[in-house]
Amino acid sequence: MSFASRATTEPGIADSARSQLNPLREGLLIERTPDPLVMVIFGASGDLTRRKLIPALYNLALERLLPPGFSVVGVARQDMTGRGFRERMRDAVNEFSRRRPIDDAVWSSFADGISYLRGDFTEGETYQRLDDHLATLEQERGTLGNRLFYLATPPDYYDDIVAFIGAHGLATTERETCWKRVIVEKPFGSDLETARALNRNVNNVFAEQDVFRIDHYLGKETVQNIIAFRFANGIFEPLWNRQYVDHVQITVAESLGVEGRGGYYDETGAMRDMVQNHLLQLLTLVAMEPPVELSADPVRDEKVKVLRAVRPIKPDLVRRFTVRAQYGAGYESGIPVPGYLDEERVASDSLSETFAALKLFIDNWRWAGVPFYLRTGKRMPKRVTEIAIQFKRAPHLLFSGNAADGMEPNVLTLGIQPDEGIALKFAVKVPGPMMSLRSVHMGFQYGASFNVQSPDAYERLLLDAMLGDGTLFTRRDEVEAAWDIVTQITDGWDRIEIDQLPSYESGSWGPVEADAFLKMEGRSWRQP
Amino acid sequence: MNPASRRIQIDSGELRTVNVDSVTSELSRVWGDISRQVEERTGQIPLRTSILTLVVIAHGQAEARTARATLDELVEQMPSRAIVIELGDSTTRLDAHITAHCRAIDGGRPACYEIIELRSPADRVGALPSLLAPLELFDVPSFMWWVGSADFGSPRFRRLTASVERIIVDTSQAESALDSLSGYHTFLNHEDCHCTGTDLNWARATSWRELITQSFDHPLTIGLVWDIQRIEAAYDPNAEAQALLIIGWIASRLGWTLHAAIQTPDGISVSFATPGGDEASVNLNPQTSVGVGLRSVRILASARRNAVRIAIRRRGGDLAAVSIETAGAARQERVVRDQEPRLCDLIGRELLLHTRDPVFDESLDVVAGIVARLRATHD
Repeated sequence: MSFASRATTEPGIADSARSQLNPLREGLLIERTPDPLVMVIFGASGDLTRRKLIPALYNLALERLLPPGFSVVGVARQDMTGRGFRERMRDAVNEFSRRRPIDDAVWSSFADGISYLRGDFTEGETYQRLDDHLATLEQERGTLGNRLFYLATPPDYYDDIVAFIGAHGLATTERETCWKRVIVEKPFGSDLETARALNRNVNNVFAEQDVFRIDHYLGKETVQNIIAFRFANGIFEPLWNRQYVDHVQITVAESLGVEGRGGYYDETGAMRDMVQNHLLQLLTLVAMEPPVELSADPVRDEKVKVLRAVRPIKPDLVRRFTVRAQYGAGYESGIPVPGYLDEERVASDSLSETFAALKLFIDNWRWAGVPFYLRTGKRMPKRVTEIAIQFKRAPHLLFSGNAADGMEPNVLTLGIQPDEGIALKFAVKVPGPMMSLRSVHMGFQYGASFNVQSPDAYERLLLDAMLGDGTLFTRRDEVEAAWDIVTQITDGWDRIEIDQLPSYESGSWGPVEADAFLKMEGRSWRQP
Repeated sequence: MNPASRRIQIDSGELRTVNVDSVTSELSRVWGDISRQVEERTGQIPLRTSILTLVVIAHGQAEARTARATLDELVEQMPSRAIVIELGDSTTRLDAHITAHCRAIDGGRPACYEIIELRSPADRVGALPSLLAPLELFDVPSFMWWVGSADFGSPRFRRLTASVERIIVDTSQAESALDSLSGYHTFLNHEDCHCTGTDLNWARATSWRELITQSFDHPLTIGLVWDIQRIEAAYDPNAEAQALLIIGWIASRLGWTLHAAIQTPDGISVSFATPGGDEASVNLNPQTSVGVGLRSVRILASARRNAVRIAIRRRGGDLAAVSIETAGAARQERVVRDQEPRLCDLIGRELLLHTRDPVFDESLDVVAGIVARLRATHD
């Protein structure tokens, strides 16, 4: 995994015992190989499997990180043979893997373990056949009863699938040394109530330590680097508080529109689709206290504390603390694009937001009074994710008149994508006889300094789940705390009677209301 | 070079007579030029990130060419200052050549690095440390890559390596890997040596070490590593150093004590005593083929009723097959990619570690012990 020490949730063997059992591992940079296992993908004919999961697994095979006997069972309703499924997955790897062209020998060895089972997720018979198939596989491929279930279906099926897995004993561990785990894709519910219900159902079948709720943002190398940057450098942490920080801006901007996902998006909106998970995850990493150690529960404990310290935006306060809007027609990279209400499968009177901005306060010792501005939107000028820490101005200005014209506050920017790096803005004297100041930008870029390809987020997260490390996954209380924040806002929005949302032109940085939102506080949004 | 990168290069033109001031002022001038050019072409001020200084020692033009070609790839990965010292014959003039390079990846902000090339007659090596020390970047680690065969006992080697923190050598460049590894061990353990070291053969053996280690991660084999009874390694003659380092690595990790080492008609036979008092035997079998390096490693481990046979075999040029056989379980085999790493990748890997590598040092200790036993037997 990413961090120094790996939490162990595996039954039987703790990490310390493992290293004693395998002293050859000392000094090697390669991850421990997971135990042999079968990964069962529900929703195997879908886009996620094709674009992300199988290419990620193949890349892990290329990196020699999969155990011998590793097997994949794809489950979906579509009529397909095992051979047909393997061919389709090979095409997917050819199209979407970051490592191309495909390596025939490695693919062939990997594909030997891929099989397909046609079945309806809502029928018990599917799970009976799956049980038989898994028993055969475990015998033939020596996977020792270890199973990793992946819910890559639409969320409507989650409850049924988990319940059937439980009812058919597919998650029952016969031996202390084997394990059964489940990976759940977002969204984890659509509000606090549904999230709680889903969590209850999942925990009826799987122990919490065996549940891996995936938010692929946490698998990104640069997101993990937030922790490294904050806690490996002595110079920043003393400044990382209300004494020195004026405010924080977190931006997750997308240049694309709903891209054929109009039906899903119209039910969801930016607040549920992006803020509840990605933005609040970034917020927790920026604002959390140092964990006692870098392993799953201590890190997640600190993240949960941040979420619990976020001052709730009660329904009657949403107008003051939030802005929402929909994109109108405009241009994306010079090409005319339709407005949200003209997108396919979007209701013409839709009130789903494609842009959301909010101001949060974290009521704790460190952050009291510091506003955190979060913003996300579709059809913005570019795809960019960044966290900007804006520091307070110098307490006393020595420079007056023209000299201070070029002075701007110091800003520390953590770029998450696409420019992964860290930048600091500070003032310098312009060369010459006059005292004139200008802001300059000192930057560190990952791509420029370490010209190595980072693993895809799914590679990291799948491997972590196989190894039983939950550090980069969201825990039940974390998900519920995030939903608690978001649900109060969406409830507030629902109570406001309006016919339409404010609009912003596609290709712009959002509605004028969002600009006014910061302007009245003497601040402005960054244009990253 | 990254296919998406554009490169701008400025060099100092004519060769200059060397002193530190002239080199640094030339560097400033070159950077001034390149900054202007980069800003004109990309609209952005070039970014310089220093991670390390790499000093490269090359004897003669052939090694210098190898060094340049490797650096060309390497500095793309790790922007830094590279100082290439080409040692020539006594007619060579001490002079310098400076280049600065910037590249813009995927249209992003350009990143830059610099190369200082110094040419010196070999008999004026004594003067070089006084040039090297002020030219190395401060506050970042300094490495030395010795391109060719090294005489580890020579004053020249000691003097040139004195200014860096970590040295990278290739013991397979020497005629005898045994002598070379032993000499390197003596050098690194000498009281006057203040740097740490590594060997490119250690880097070449990394994928084999990983595959062996992973074989003992398996639930059916974990713990059996302590019960290894026999190891057989087959290798091309040019990979003897790798084979020895792998044996040294296993023995040192498992706390084995060297018992005997003899040269046999088939290669080298070594026996160890395990901490439990059992014997572990090792056969190193050189092959007559060339070009592939290590060919196979077979390991037998057995404890009471449990036994495992692990075989890792090179398959073709860039694949390895790993099989694990345990009593009462299906044989498990996987095919993995195991490409021969490029020289720049090997060096890049070793540049990631800038402190002492105790695992390498302890492996080398065992190898030095084996060499001493072989010599004693031979004498």
